[in-house]
Amino acid sequence: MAESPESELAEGLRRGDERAFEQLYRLYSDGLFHLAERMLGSAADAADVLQETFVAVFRRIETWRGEGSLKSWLYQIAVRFALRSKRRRPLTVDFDDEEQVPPPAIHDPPPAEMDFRSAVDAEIARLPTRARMVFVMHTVDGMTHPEIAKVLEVDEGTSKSQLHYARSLLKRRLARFERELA
Amino acid sequence: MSSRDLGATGATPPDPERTPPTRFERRIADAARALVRPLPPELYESIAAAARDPDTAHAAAARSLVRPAPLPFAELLQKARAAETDAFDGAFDRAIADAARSLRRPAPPELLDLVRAAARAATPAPQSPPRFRLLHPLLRPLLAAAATLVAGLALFFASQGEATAAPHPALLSATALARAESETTALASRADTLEAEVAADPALAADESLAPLLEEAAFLEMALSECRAALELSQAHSHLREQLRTLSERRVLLLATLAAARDAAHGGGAPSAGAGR
Repeated sequence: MAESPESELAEGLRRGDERAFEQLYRLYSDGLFHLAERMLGSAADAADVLQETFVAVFRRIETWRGEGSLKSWLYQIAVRFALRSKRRRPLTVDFDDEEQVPPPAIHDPPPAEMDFRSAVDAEIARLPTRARMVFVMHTVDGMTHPEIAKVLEVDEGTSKSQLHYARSLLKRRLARFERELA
Repeated sequence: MSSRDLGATGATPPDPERTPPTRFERRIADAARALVRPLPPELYESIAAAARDPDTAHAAAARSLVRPAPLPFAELLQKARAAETDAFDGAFDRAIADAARSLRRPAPPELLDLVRAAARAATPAPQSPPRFRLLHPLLRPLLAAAATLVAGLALFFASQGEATAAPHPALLSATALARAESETTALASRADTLEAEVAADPALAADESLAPLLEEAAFLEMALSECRAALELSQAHSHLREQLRTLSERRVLLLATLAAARDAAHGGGAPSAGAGR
């Protein structure tokens, strides 16, 4: 029976193959970095999370059972590190707190020059943490609801409802652009 | 006022049907009437149809009353969520999604070297082959089957050996109880024989040197009778059974000592039956 690419990759990592490590990094680093940056609002913190995630994967690849996808496992680790990093900050933001202080937008132009793209960036940053994570994983990274559910350790319905919530909020907050775009 | 009094005065008992309702009762009746809703028009039609064609219309009327069972709330919510999630496919939603995707930046290229160096520096976690083997997907069902078999066998042998094993540490099993009863009976029988021998000699009671032993014998008899009374509640009580056996043994030993003393006083005779323990 032919092994899946992920299993081959995992096998390579178990052997300590650097090419496998690099391949894994190239496959998932952008998505993980973006998610971490969206969660933490800081490229430096996101870089730390990315580093911790890959080191943890390298050290613990033998514990990956191959039941879910390697991608889900990687995202799960990254989300845990990001949440831990968030908790360590002086300005603690509760995971489930809807009325929270938003992390800064990734691209933060002055309000006068704010175009649609910048507004989307700012509004994504204003989303509640969980809804933001689901939105980024689903819409930006193209992950399925079962994958997201596994990463966040919630059920699929929760993933769907959080996506719906995120989309509704974005749509409402960006409504001023709707007519222009039409 | 009794019925005789009523007969004597010619008054009749109040009839609740004829008594005019109080204002409160009228308000309740009005409220109840207000709650009565008219039958749905389709039901009138069904009933009318039933009057025209009773064979089929009765069934139709019955069917019109049957509504599909409501879906469980969780299922309804799930469907609603799925429907609403899928509904976000308008041009504006797509524009938002496209903008969100365009905002994704790649991880800084220099990070790969940093991550690689960190991964190299990190010692890989020591391999644990036994644990890994246990976690192997193919081995797991086998292990589960083996564990089930062992558990099943343990249960089977436990049920087979129920007669010999103690079902509860505080209670004796049937076999252990029978053995304990047999031992106690033998000890009691031996003690009775010895006691008869001792009692047959009135000189022993007068012997002051034997007075402590006689007192202890009396004490032991009292303790034994208390122990037997306690065992009435539960013959299988292991602790009480053990105590009964210990007391019986002590009584036999004591009576044997007394019998030996009597034999010695009589200038040596045949050893008593209970002394050979």
